[in-house]
Amino acid sequence: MSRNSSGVIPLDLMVEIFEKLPTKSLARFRCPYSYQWESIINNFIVIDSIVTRRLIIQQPRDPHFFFEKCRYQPPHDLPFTILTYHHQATDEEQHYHEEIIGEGYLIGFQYVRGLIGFWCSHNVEYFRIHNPTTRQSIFLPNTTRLPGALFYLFGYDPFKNQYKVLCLTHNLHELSLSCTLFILGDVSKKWRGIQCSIGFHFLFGQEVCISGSIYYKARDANGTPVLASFDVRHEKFNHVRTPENLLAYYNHEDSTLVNYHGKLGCICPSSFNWNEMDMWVMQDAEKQEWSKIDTFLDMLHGLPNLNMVRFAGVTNPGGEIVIVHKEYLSELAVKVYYYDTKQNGLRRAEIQTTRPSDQVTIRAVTDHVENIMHL
Amino acid sequence: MSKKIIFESSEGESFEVDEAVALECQTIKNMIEDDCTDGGIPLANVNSATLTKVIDYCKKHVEAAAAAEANAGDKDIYGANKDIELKTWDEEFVKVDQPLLFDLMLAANFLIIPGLLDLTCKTMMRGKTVLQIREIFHIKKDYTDAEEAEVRKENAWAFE
Repeated sequence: MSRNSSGVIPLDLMVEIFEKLPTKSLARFRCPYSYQWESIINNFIVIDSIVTRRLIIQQPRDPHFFFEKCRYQPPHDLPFTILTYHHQATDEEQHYHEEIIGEGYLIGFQYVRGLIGFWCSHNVEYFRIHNPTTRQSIFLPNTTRLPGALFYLFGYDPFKNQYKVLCLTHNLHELSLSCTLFILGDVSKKWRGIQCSIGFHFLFGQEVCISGSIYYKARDANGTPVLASFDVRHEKFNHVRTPENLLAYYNHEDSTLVNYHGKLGCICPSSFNWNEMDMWVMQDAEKQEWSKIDTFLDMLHGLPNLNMVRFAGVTNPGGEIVIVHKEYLSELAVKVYYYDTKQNGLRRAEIQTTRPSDQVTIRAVTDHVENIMHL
Repeated sequence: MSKKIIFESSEGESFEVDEAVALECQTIKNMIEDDCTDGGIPLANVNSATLTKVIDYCKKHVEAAAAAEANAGDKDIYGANKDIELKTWDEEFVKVDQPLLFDLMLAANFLIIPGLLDLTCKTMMRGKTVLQIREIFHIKKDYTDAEEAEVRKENAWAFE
């Protein structure tokens, strides 16, 4: 056999072996020692700090879940936000990891390509980024706080491989908006001002980053609901045209923006009886063309009251709509519902939590990747 | 009677197997489809000891697949094959010395047997330190100590 004479392992076999390593071991082996060794891993497995694998084993079809809880822990006066990662490795195997990520309760939480951007009630001037793969957390530098309500948007530009954080301060009295931007990893480590070309708008909640654009729901100066977008690469704001009634409901939770197989999707009631839900997808982001994928009659039949649950995303590639409880005063297990859009069926799953009686907010991540980037 | 395929090891020894067993190897499958297996398939880089093991593995997995087919009702709703017996068999199968494991891995790679490749790669890496792995792969250090310290700091999480 050739090994005894030359001891050479073919490159493809080497890649094959590396791919099977757990991420932590992979990072350890990648550690600088040999340029050739490092470049093999960087060229074939870790691409733009994301671990890519072609596994022959069955990929779990369920999303990753993050549970956030707020807990008082004496002697501290402030509550802590504790983040639990839940990862379903196989049908039987569940993994947990629990970590304190900040003081005060969580105000914003955005998952973008392996990283979590968030800010807490304590120190709203500081946006933080947490990498659940490496468990590293950083504070971004303080933003110069202007009077008014503060909002952050977190996005990723695949073209330049850059994460950016946008900070929007609204002055409701003057109806003015100021924007500053921070590029993660930029040497200046400074926020810089940018212009908002679409005038005053006030964010109210939900955002999703897809293919280099952050889409978010807002209200304009008249209080009319609008859909806005921020192009992460070109740093430009835009209004997004939407089909009638997509956003025309009382409450910002009535419609939900989702990543639908890499396109912007929106789940919203098609009438006011709340039993029919529409799924809209923006088929062409350039032309802002939407099409209605389906209407789900009786989708919520068998579910707790709509006031109690919310849509948390669409699984990829399964295409199931994930429905979770808005806030969960937990027993031992958290219930999650999956609505199969092809067969119009509902299945229910239970996720074991680590301990009972915590008030929990559940976040479902349907596009999880392992990112080993150093923050 | 099913069609037979003849393998020839690097020592020139012949091994006769059922076509179904040979089909477990993607490389051989392609050759069978292209109809170029007459007169035996010479495997110049697989020795007899390794080939015997590879054939054992393929046989077992063909049998297990047939058994699973017969008991299709036992499968769970996702179609996953929860064959614990086969898993145990696999574990026993790779309890071999390091050189043979290495040869099996290379053979699985060459013959393209995904299951065996997965099994041998994982077994090969299990419980090994970074140093041992470097030895296996013949990795020579070309970073300076300062460079190593710098980047090691960035990857500190992996060493916790």
